Amino acid sequence: MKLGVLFSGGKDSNYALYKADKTDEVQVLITLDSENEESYMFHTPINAVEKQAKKLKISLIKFKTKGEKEEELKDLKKTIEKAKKEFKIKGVVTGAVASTYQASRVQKICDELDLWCFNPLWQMDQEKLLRDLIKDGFKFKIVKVAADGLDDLWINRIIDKKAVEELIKLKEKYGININGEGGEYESEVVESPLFRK
Amino acid sequence: MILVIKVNKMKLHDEEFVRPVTDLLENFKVVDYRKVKKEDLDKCDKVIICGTALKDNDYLENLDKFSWLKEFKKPVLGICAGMQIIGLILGKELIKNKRIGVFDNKYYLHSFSFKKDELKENNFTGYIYHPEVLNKNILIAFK
Repeated sequence: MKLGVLFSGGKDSNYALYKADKTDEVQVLITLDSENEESYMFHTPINAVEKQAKKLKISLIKFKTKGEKEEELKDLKKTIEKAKKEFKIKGVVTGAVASTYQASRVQKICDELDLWCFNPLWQMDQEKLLRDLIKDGFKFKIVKVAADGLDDLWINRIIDKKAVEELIKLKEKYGININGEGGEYESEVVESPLFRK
Repeated sequence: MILVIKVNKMKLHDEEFVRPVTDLLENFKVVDYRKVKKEDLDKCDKVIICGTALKDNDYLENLDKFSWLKEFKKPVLGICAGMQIIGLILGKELIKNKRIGVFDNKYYLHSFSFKKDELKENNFTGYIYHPEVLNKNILIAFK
């Protein structure tokens, strides 16, 4: 099936793309550039998407949104609709893991646009997701932090096996979600098995 | 052993409708609904029938693949499409009714349903919502 992937350049959307690429034909990456750093829907910053799209050799549709609660959903719908028209996609892939807020909103938009919706990371265990990413050859770094125990020293740090152990300790101490599901941090992928040189 | 029957048509949906269920189980075997053998049904202790995506309703055209349910006496738990299948085999009337999102701390994603969200009849249990999302204890208690 021809698919579009909602893409932020972070670990989850890159991993969802990686899974979708194994079974289907990814035609386009869809990025919403939100001016609202506190957006419930979209990851910020999205500095790396253009560079990554080039390395992936996949087309990119990028759209700016103010990131206001209901407006950003309308902007997302318009952008997905554009991807449907221009790239003939039949479905949309997201990197949603645990957020029923994000997942159900994308489900509704897909339903309104008569598109299939795929969430290949849905309900994955936090620790397993990080370990699988590393095992499958992804390199990703933290680009923004917003949680107790995660200080600025984490910024630009690559999440390797040692960092995962440290995050688990922070989870035990502060109760953070080590996958960053609660906005504890944002990530950026530096290397993916799908990047071409 | 729990026989987990996958109903989804697209392989990529295994990750969304089967894996979140099997992640909660220890001893299981996954079989596509079109390939269930008598041997699988004889060997298992219980059965879980998984759900599908909103646009994935192929199972409604293939209900004959579930005719074994009529004679089956072991515990069966159906999730969303799985509950619809059980209900239809039991002769209940399916209605067009779309629901997406969280209501009363339950995650719903369906295009069809019955009058009630839950089904309990003899060895059959069904949930029109997805317990593997916000009500994992239901599946943990079943295993």
